[in-house]
Amino acid sequence: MRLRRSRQRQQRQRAATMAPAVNAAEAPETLPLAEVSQRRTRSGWRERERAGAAMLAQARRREMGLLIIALLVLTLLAGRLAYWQIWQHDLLAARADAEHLRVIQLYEGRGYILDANGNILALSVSRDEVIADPDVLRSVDALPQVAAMLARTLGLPQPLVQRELDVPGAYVQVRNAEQQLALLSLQQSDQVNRLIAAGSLPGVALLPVVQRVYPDGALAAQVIGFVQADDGQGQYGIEQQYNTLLAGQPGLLYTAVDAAGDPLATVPQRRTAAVPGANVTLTIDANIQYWVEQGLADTVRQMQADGGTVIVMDPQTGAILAMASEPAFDPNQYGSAALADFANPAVSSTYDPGSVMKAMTMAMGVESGVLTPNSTYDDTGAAVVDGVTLHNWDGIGHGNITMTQVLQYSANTGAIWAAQRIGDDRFTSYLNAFGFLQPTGISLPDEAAGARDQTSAADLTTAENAFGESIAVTPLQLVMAYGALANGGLLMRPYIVASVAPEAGGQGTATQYGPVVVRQVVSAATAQTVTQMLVTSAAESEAQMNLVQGYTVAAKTGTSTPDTSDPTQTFASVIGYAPATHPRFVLLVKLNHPRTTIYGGSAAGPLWRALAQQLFVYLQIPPDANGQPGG
Amino acid sequence: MFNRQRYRWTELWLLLLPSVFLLVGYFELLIVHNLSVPVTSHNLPPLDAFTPIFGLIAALFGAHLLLVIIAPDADQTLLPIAGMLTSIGVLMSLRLGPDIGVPTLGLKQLAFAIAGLAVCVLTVWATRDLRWLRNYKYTWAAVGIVLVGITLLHSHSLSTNAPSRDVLNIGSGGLSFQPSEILKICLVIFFAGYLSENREMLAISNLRVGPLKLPPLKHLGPLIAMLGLALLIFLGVKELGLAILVFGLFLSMLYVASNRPSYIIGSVVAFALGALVIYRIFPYAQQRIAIVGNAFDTTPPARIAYNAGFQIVQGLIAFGNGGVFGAGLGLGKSWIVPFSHTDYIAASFGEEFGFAGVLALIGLFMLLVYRGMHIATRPRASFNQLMAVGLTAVFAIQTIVILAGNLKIMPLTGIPLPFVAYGGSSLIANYIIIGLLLRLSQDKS
Repeated sequence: MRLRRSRQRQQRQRAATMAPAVNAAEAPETLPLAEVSQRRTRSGWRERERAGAAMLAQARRREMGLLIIALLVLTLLAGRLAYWQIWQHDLLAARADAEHLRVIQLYEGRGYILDANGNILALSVSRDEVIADPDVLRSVDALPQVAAMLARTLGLPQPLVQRELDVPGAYVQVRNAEQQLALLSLQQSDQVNRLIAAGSLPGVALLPVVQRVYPDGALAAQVIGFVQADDGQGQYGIEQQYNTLLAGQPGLLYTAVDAAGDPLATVPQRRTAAVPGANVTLTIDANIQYWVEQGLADTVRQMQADGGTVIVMDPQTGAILAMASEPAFDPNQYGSAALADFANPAVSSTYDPGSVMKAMTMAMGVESGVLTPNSTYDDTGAAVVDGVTLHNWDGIGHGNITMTQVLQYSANTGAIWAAQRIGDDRFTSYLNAFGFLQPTGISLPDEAAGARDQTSAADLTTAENAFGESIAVTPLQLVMAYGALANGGLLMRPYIVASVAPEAGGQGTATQYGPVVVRQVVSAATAQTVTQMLVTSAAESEAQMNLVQGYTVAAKTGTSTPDTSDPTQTFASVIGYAPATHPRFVLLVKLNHPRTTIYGGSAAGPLWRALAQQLFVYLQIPPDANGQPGG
Repeated sequence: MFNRQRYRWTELWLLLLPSVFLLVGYFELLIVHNLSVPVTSHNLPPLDAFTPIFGLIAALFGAHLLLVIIAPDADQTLLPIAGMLTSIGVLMSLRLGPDIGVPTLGLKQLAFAIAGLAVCVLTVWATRDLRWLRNYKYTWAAVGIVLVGITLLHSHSLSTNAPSRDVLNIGSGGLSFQPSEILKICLVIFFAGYLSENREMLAISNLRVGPLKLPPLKHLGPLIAMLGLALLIFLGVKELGLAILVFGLFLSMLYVASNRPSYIIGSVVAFALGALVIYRIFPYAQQRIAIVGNAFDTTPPARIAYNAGFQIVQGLIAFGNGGVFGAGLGLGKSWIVPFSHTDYIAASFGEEFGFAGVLALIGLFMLLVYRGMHIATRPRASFNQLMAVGLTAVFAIQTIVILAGNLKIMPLTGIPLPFVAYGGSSLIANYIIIGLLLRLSQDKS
């Protein structure tokens, strides 16, 4: 400290001694002017001048110091600038693009969904909605007049429109009393456009809104799905599965926008052409679908069931002719439907099918050669497997009966007897061969695979599976498996989309979908044998599904009680195909928890019969039984 | 008078740079505004469109000619540097005006520039004798304080909670000016006058506070009082930038005048303590600091800060989008930065001229500061020296404070970028400073 201070003093002294030299040039100028009498004063002044000059000289060094500091700081700022403008350029430029560039999507309309006969099941229409800028309305003090005029034109109550418009901000969509967008009719759009052109509606504009319309309402709703209004994305069913193709490629308009979101003319625009959405044609026949849905709804009501599913399939191709479930929903008003109703239970719900599985068990036994339709066993009404006693559904023993009678009486012990001869391994591999325990591959979303109960020993599970318990299957899997029996043992992949074709005049090629053979599950002879067993047992059974004049029917009832604590909670079903000699359709009717009567034959049978009769007529199927009921 | 020796040839030649820059830049702007139409020899912008630009160029050369008459030996680089910076400002205003919804922005700035050049020459003419500035230093100080005081009362009556600007509206013609721009010049004159008179006194130290030696309080008193008053006023109108400016120029001048590191250290410590107290008391100050820290943070807890930091982030996006060579004049999108023509003029410029352009801009300011300090090293009169230091410091500090704010180094302030930012008061005040520096440059040893 001391040292430093003394050095400062030295510097000051040195500066002081140097100062006269600096001012030497001026000295001769000033001195002659001085008068002798004033010498003393002048020398005092000169002292001060010298000291001042010394100070100035020192100050110059400090000024240089200041300059260097300033330049250094500015250089550092330039470095920071380089960080933002060069190092962070990519990141910030991306953010800049995100803020300035808008990609405006120009959709050319979503494709149609058509039924097998070309009826339109889903289409898109464009309607106008009213948008307004409340800030503008307020600034020109026109809110009440505009509200009144809009209310009159749209047929909405004036206070409602006034309330809708008088919100903070610069953007509002006019909604009706149900809080839905007020979509205008063509006439209303015309009127509003005229008013806007006349300048009577400042801050108001029309915006086209593309709306998905389902002309037949709830028809095949779970197959078709719906389109979410806010983002235009297909949800559930075909709308979801084929969303990309249906939507097409929107034309993209890349443009810079100003703060208001309007495209700026000063920035070059780039646009890509839109590809219109493709039309999807289904194998569904809207007529069959309609009868099926009417019948199902009636039956569910009559039987006081929670719901139900009906599937009609062409066994020779695998084409789905109808697929319906209750409860259904109206995709035009999907917003007011229950979320649980959107999914398609025909493919995404599994259940224990019950006795209808016995047909598969018999087919496996016949194909393996361990039994024939006439093999007999002693039915005591119960069987013990792995220490567990399994009963017939009615607990009655029928004595010495054939396999055909097992189907007729729906004796569980007979199915167990057959399964034990088939064996666990063979039974399991046949289950897989019939298409159970895996998705069928139909082009619908959210298909379930099904599963076997894994908690019990293998032989107990197999014994239970033989009469359709402890195994979860989808309704479609059952229809597919029965289809194999109806089709000479040839398992067909069920399909619901017949073709995807571009809009007329559009680009791209049409894709046709046809029958796909999965595998030969059992031989044609086995299929023939089991069909005959089903025809005979159906004719003799109490359910009497075959009371259709002139047609042979191969069918089986099923009643499963998944909830062991409440045996009245059943899945009641009938599945079968007809005519048995040359099957044209496989028909499944399944009811969830019917209460009027809980058994497959009595609850689902009547609808099965009614629908089969309509199908014989509609599909112009010639009788095959010479006017005799049954085969 | 027009003999070759005394004619300001250097200045004349250098003035060609802003002229060419203005013509080329304005030509590009005219083309960009009609970008959808291909440019051919048939639809070039009409010559009439260039009239305002020619007006500004004429004003530059007019000022040059008047300087030849009234101050032939004054510094020849100041006017071209200021002219170049002004040209950048005018072009940016012309370019931003239509995009921010004020189509007349450019023409207004152009009018301010011409007025500024006139005021500049007027200042040079009026300060033939610099002593009257020094002799009336208290008067100048009083004028400045009163002007700002009126503004303070005025803005207080409006009672807005937002960070206000010290704007005084004159009459009902929509004319307004910022008294702080005049105050900073008044303060420099006062400090220079006071410090040069009491230089020796201040160098003597009788008081000791620990290891620090302090000058007699009697001499320090008026200085501290003046400084304190100015700082209080700016904190009153929540203008942190102006407080930094006043304190910075005071510090620079005190340092040059006294050679007392103890003063500098003492002042900085006092300022730091004061800043800490203010940070504790005013939530507004805390918020400003927090914004700098987490401007980019979009996580929910910092949501408010994000909204408040919107301007900073937008400014950085504009800078970053420019890259090395920029988008080109008229082709940036900086209008979405709030205050793109005032607080964020550097970002707007940076987006369209790139890193290269801003580097050149910083270079121009370096040149300006260098010339100012060069002028400050030569006077024989202590008052002149200190005034040149103070006036140069005004430019340097303003540039640093606003650029640092723009570049997210310190809180953003309302300090305008000299000559470039839109605004009449600032531009005219800066030209008064140029006029004073021109006159000061004639005092050389």
